[in-house]
Amino acid sequence: MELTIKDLDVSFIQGDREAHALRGINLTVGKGEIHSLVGESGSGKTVTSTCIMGLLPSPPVRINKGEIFLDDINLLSLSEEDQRKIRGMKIAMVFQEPAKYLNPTLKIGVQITESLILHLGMSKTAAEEKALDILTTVGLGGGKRILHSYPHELSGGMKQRAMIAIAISCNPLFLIADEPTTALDVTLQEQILELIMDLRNKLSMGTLFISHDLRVVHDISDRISVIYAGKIVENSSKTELFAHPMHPYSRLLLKSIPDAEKRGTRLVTIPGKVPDAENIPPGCAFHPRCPFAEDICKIEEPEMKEYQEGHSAACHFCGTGKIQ
Amino acid sequence: MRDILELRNVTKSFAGHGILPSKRTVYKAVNNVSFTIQKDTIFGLVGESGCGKTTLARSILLLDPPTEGEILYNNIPLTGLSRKKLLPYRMKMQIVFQDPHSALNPKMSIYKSMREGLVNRHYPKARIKERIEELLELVGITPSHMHRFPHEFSGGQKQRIVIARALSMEPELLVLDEPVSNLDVSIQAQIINLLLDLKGKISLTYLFISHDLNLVSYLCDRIGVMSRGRVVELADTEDIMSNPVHPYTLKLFSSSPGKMGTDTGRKGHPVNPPEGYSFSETRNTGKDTFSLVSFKNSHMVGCYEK
Amino acid sequence: MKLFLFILKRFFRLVLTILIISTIIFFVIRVIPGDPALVVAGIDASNAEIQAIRVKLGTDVPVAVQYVRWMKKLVRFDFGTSLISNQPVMTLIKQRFPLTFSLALLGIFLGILIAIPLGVLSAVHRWSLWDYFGMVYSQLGMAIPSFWLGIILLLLFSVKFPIFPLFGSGSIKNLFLPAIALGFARAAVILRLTRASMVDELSKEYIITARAKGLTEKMIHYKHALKNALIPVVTVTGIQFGYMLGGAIIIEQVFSLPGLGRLFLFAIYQRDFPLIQGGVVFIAVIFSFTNFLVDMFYSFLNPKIRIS
Repeated sequence: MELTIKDLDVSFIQGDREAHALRGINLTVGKGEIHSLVGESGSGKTVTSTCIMGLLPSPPVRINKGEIFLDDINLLSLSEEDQRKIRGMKIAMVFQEPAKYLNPTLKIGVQITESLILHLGMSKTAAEEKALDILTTVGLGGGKRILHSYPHELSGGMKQRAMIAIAISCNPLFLIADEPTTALDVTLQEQILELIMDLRNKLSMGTLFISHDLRVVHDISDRISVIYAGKIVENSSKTELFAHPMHPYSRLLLKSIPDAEKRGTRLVTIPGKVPDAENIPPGCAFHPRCPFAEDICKIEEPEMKEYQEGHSAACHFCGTGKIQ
Repeated sequence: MRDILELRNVTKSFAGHGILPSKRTVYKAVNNVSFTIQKDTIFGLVGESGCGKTTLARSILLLDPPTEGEILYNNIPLTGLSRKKLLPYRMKMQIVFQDPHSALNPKMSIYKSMREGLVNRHYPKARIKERIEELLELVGITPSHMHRFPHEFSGGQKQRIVIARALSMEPELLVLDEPVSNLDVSIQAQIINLLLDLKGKISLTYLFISHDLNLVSYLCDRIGVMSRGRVVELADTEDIMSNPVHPYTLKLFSSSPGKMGTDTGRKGHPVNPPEGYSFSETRNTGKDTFSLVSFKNSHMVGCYEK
Repeated sequence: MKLFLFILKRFFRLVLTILIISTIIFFVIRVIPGDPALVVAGIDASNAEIQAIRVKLGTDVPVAVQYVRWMKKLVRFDFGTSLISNQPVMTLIKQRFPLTFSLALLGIFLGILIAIPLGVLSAVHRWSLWDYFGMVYSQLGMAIPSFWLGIILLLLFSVKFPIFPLFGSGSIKNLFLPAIALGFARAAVILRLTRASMVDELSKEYIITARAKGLTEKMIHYKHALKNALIPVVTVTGIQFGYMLGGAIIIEQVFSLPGLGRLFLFAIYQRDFPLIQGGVVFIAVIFSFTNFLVDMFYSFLNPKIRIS
């Protein structure tokens, strides 16, 4: 199953104010691929994922143009009822803070089985059997006890595993993981990342992994798209991106990450801040913060171009040798 | 170099609730921690959430005085001092928290927020405005913006303002509790550079608390790794990075995402504890046999007596 | 086991509360200046008569002894004898309690019946007709005094259209109008809370999870949000019910119902000290007991409570 986003353009409308959250997103996630969408807060990562899920409330959201395909199903053209049937069944989602995203007053068992009963028409007992299997898959053995636990009786890492169990219960074809490890400690983070990779292998789900953390993305992704101010500015395989970043934004971002090897040197910084979606600079949205910007960047918006096979970027000066 | 801060067997325990005394089990959030911080250096305290690092910071600042142990500031014991006598030392130690949004009163302009502290320490009234301008300039905020309100600034700018406010007390020690964790990636580097720049301009010592090993290893001179209320490893950054010893440190290194996991961390292999010691409690004598033992010179590792 | 321990703990707390309350009441009544015996006996009474009343009241012995006696009687639910009717206080309360209890039960039942569905509908369909209706209702409910509503109801449904009897007690028909008068205002409070609580729950993150699972809106509202939304509602409803059990003095007066409220009201008029004392303890006990039940129900709704 392949997920393709074509020229997705989304605004938030409030009165006469318009925030241009997504400005033409193009993205393809292949079968069994873990594709990361990296960006800072307000860059449009979460809007993209909620849009795929069909969970953006309209109003205030207006989809200006664009299409989202899951293989040949055009998700955006579906009725609300059909969209609902796809959610949880074909596309599932895991969220950042399991403690908040699990219902505190329902047992884990109920939270897993309800989608099995609803989507697959299973009986309660069959669903519970299946739920036990799923719990084992996500590394929560001793399932019966977990089935009858409430979320607050589980530790943080276990909660996130339970969250993942809920997501994969109906064997979805596609998984969206929205910062699934950000609220977790590093040791737990590693375990959850391993679980997601493991599930990809077992279930061959395509996965859209959303994160602000380049280091996490480095560990998990096959491909990476870098998003800035509602637009993808670079797309490449993981190894390529880390070895030869093209867009000035990705380059600077990589350089600004502190680590032991940069000790004693000054960190590279990106001046200014992420523009808010109501005031996106004309031309290349990154130009006010870009050390390589020239006049053309202020006027003309650069197109996404493929400079090497499978490696594209949107910058007027990519491939000119100007960006050092 | 002289020590600006010394911790001697600092313990902070919390009692449980219950009517029966037996129910009031004591929980040690910080357990027998000792280390020193040298003047003008950056000391990093790393650990996962709940390891006691923030509790320790609060104990050091005597916001929550420790239950046991001593805290010495420039060799003067602070524990046991009266509130009044403590006051001048309180000013010398300032803290910056993780969340700049809640650190600033939303109903007060930046100027008013900063003025409060200066008035409190009887700064000459006539010079207050000038001083605030200086401080804002120092942290990279346009001084003419000082009559604006917190919501008019971005997260990174707010954190700069919080730092400026802390500096208005003319502290010698700045405790930074995850000061960049809530900020965007591209803003984090700005704040870290600012912290380094400030150290170049004023004499400052940092106690930098973080969960981010990469960041701590970039910034700090000496690192203490904390786990379950104890400091389990204490060493100069180069030593701990090249040769992590305690199993917990190794685990932390290997699970750190990014380059950390692949290069430095994974090559770390189990190391034997110093002779006569073990990393886990082998027998329960009822006595606390845990201590920091020298592994190599000033590279200390926490282990139990056999 | 955990649940049992929780119930035991709460029960222990209930007993403790009652002990403390009755002790306070005992001393408060002793602190009030003046000898109750003098008040009861009147100005013309002789010393012997006064002494006799003191013996009857039990105020002839030292306070400590009185306290022990009071406590001893209390465990047997013996509140002494009414000065006016010469019947045991407990007997009087027992006679009046069923009426008050039925009235409160019916009142809170009607209140819940209006408030919770309307509150949920208002929250689910915000800014819809339901919501406006709910808002108008809650404004009126809080603004209209219940005695006035009682009088209007009587005028309308007993005088103008004699559907319900004008006075008397004994059948549910007699209780219906006072229960509406009583429940109307309570419903307004519960309605507001239900709406606010439901709106709050619907904006929580776990609702997004439920949507992402492809659940139907019905399941999201009634299976996921409602149970969480009811948690605060239960507490408030319980407290409201406790108040009503203590006797709805004004409503009982308007509808001439011989309930607890009226019993205590007359006890105060007539300075019937044992009855006042017994009444206050009884209300306190009932109130604590309702709270205990609410706690039990609360723990059923909110699994987190059970362990903390």
